[in-house]
Amino acid sequence: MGAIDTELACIDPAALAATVERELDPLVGRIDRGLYPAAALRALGAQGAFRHHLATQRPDGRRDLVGAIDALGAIGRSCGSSAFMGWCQDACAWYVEQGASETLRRELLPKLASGEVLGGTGMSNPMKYFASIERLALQGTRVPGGWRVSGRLPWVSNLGPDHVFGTAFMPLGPDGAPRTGAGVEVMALVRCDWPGVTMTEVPPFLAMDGTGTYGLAFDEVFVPDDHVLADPIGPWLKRIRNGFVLMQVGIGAGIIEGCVALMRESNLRLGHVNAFLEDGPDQIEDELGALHDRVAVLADAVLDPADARFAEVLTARLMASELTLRATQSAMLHTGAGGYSLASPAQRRLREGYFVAIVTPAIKHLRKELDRLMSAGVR
Amino acid sequence: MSEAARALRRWLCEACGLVYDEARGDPDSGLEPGTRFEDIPEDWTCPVCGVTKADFRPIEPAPPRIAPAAGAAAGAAPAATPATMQAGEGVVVVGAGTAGWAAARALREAGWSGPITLVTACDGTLYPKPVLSVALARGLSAQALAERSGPELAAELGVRLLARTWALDLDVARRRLLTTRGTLRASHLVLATGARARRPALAGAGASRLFAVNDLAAYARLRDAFDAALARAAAERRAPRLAIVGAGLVGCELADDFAGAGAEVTLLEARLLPLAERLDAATGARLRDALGARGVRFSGGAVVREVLVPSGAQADDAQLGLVWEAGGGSHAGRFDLGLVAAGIEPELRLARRAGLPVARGVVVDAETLACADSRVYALGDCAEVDGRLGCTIEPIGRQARTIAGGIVGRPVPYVVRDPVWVVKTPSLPLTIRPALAATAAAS
Repeated sequence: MGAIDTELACIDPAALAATVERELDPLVGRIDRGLYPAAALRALGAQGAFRHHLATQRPDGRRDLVGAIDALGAIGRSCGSSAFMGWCQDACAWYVEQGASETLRRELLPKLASGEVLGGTGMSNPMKYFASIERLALQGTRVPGGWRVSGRLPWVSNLGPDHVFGTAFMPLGPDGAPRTGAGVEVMALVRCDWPGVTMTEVPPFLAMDGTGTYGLAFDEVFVPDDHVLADPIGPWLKRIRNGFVLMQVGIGAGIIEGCVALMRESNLRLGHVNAFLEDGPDQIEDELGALHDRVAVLADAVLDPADARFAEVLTARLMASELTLRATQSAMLHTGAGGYSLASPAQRRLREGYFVAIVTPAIKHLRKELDRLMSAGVR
Repeated sequence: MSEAARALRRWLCEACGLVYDEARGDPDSGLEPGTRFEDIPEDWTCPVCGVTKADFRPIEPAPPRIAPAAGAAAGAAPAATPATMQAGEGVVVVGAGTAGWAAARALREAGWSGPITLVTACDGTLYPKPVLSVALARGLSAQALAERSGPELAAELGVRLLARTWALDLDVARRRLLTTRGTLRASHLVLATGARARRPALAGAGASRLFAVNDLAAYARLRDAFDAALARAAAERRAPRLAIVGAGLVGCELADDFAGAGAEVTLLEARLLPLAERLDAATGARLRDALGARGVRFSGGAVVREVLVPSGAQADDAQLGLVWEAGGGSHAGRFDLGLVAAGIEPELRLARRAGLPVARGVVVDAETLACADSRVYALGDCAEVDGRLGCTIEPIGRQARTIAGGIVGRPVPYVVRDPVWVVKTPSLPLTIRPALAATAAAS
């Protein structure tokens, strides 16, 4: 039983924190400016950071979504970019574990869980498409043994030449007409090194430039049937969506914790003036605790396909975005001119915080979707 | 004559907002046009909400309205925010029905000069809800029922109106309200989330075609569908056929109203008589017969088995087929329009999310109308006072004054009164004054 003991030790929070300190802390500034930390991510994976939520990849066979969120929090406390990449990895593995491909579950999933293979999620466009915000960017036609897929995805993160990612496309019939109906799209896992997949550099971002983010062009890319995760996508999407959204709370939680630490540090010297600021560290920490409790309750029912549950999940995610914005702004105000220096983490936190509120589902997207669900009578 | 006409006045029911116009009288109650308020018998009650004459006040002639010029100076603006108040704090009212607006008005009347924000999923239009079920007889379109637009009323009361905004979650301890348009901080919160029409689960593909009406927007859709039904029936040289499932207060009132407008109404009720919950058998039978004389086909002891989409129905019309059992036999009918009147249930999602005590409604203190947290209040259809739900319009104005008094620090203890049910069925107008139920042990 030695192997099991080792694996259980791998998901020990203290060990994870030590890995973050050793592998990530020294790189944080460079990741912010464009370094993709492949080795650090693999080390985190080897530590077990990306397997908490994967029941099939744990010796105890238990799904621990809160563990996944807390691991992302531990990473995000140091580096928001890495927490986001960790979430990409978690989401990609989640797609495969919940997907229909036995081959991928057997051959790829263990490698995603351990960080040996790194994965991204090309689901920003599909998620916005399902919320009636964008058109679906990829289209596929049926060919023997699979699909030929074409189109462009503007931004997909946590990519590299040998990485994988999940995405969805609209199947076209022989006459070129899209399938009709709700939830009829196809979900697949794609490899960056497949013929016809072109990764293009994207212009620099305000922050988080080291997240391995590329534009992707699909030119008649052959997707074999054993890489199809769901066809049609509908029931699968309802299974994965709570986990997809809830795990993002970990990115925000990590940034918020980092901000609380910055505020406390700043208060040692400037507490007498910082007392005049709203949203001090105790208050932010208190609200983060309440949010964590809420998320823990929702995590117990992560596979619940009901819209009412999804509305609660979206609400928690909205709270995470709003609290992240308040925390990062407050950390900036607490640290003052010192925080305004490009050498200070406070300004980086501010830029990372906006990302939490902008990445799919963005605050505006969440509110629009909640408005739709409430108007439809979801309670 | 002109001298006398000038002297005629109009009187406002403080409970429900009904206007008694001396010039028009109240023919339904036998008051001829020109009947002065003083001359109305003392046992007369408000035809809408049932309060007595004492709850009416004369309406003074309205001062001429002066539209503020564009970019008008701050002097014309509503109450300013006290400098000591943190940005965004103030009273937040959730819901813009009769109760929400009553709370905002009562706050201003009680002297609250701080900010008031009213959050509502609808557009904030104020309308007299009890009139929904008698609008046809009064010749009122759904549009004509709207008394004031939300923005107009908000401007008058100095209220920031967040219309088409859903309240998602309430953090009571921190008094933060999460909405689809941002998070509001509040010094006090007033829950006026109202109730929604109950929709019993009925079998069949046509079940979603049944209308359920508990607000103006739903009523407007019903009237549009009725207009379409009238046109279809006229083309076929027959009366429009309307099915109403449920013969409670609203079901009976709407049956009478639509029958009066020429519809052939079938009224299905699981109990043996209409309004069986509130009327003794003899009176229930009289109501049944009075409705029958009006052309309403009442079917007591009826259980709906299935709601069908009849052949030839379009996706966007309201036609439906009903299959029901009654009197030991099975019945079926095709209707141009169907609606279900199965009562209302308080809208408690927000209170539940907030962790406030909830029983059948939001449980509030019977004297202060405060929830467990002394800075959160509830009134109207969503509130449970002394173990009972409101469900009538009468208490709302008094509840609003109690809450406003609590917020400004001049308590106005609430007094639980016997509910009065005015059954607005012109075929047989009824006023029900049940004795107070024994004080419920439930809380």
